[in-house]
Amino acid sequence: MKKIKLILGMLLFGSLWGFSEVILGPLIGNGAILTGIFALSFLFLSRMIFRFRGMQLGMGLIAGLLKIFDPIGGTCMICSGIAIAAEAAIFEIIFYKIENLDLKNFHSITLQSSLGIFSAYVIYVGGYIITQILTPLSQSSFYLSNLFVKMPGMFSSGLIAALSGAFTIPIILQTKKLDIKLKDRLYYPTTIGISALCWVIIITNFIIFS
Amino acid sequence: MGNDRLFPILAISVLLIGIVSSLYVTALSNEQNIKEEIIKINGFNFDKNDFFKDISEKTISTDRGEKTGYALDEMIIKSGVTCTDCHKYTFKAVLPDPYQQTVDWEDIKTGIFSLNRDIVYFPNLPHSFWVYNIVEIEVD
Repeated sequence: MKKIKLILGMLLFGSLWGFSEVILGPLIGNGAILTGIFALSFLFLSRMIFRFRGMQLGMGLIAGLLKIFDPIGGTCMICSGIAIAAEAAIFEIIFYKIENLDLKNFHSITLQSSLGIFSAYVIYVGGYIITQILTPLSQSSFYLSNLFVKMPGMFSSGLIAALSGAFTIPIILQTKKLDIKLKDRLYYPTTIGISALCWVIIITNFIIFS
Repeated sequence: MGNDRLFPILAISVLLIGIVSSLYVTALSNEQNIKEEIIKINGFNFDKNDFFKDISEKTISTDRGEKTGYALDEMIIKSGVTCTDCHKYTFKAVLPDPYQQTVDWEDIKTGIFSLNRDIVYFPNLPHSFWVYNIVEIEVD
C-alpha cells in the first residue's frame, strides 16, 4: 500500500512539473523562474512529504516524458525531456545525504534561503548545460568550443533561478506547519484525477498547437 | 562541516559566479552595441548597409511559420569563400549573452539571415541553431 502511495505521489508531482514546463512555461517565458519556483517546489515538497530517495528522479522522467508533448519544443524535443530528467538527477545528488527536510534541520531563514539559492542554481545551470550538449549532439554538430562560449551566459542566467529559490524553499518549509493530511479514500482519486487532468491538458494542447 | 555553514558558503559561491558572469556578459554586450552596423564573415568586416544590396531574399517554411531573409549561401560566397563544402560555419552572437553554433554547408544552403534581429533560420535544425544578434560568421 505504501509503495502504491509513493508511485501515485511520484506520478502526481511529475505530472504537475510537466504541466508547469509545457503549459505555464510559454506564459512565464523564463526557464530560470520556472526551475527556481515550480521545479524546485515540486522536487522539495515531494522529498519533504515522502522522504524517499529516487522518487524525484522518477518525477523527472515523468515530467521529461510530458515535455516531449510540448508543441513549441523545437526539433529536438527529446533533448529537453532528458534535460528535465537530468535536473531531477542533480536534485537527488544534492539531497542525497539530507533525509529529513524539516524546520528542525533548517531552522534559520538564512539556512533555508541558502539551500534554495544553491539547489535552484545548480539544478537550472546543470539542466541548461545538458540541453546545450544534447541538442547539437542530436544533429552531429557538437563542438566543445561552442559550449565554452555559452558558459558565461548560462552561469549568468542561473542567477534568476537562484534568487527565486531563495524564496521558494522557505515558503515550502512553512507548509510543514499546516500539517495537512489526506485520507486514503481521498488520496487515491485525488492524485490520479489531478495527474490525469495534467496529461489530458498537455496532450490536447499538443494536438491543437502542433 | 555541518549544513549550517556548508549551505550558506555554497549559496554565496554560486551567487558570486552568477554576478561575475553577468558583469562579463554586460561588458561584452556594451562592446557589441558599438559594432552593430558591421558583420564579420570569413575574417572580413562588412558594412551591413552595402553588403546585402545584391544578395537575394528568399522565404523558407519552419515549424514556426514562414520566415523571410537573405540567402545564407550567397552571403558566404560573397564573403570570398571558394570551397564552400570544405568548411564548417560558426555563427557567433554576444547579445544577450555569448552564444555560438556550428553548421555544415548543407545547412547553409537551406538557411536564411534576417536583418530583423540579425538572426539565422534553418528549416531542418533545432531552434537552438537559430542564433540571433549575430556579429560574426566564422569559416573554419
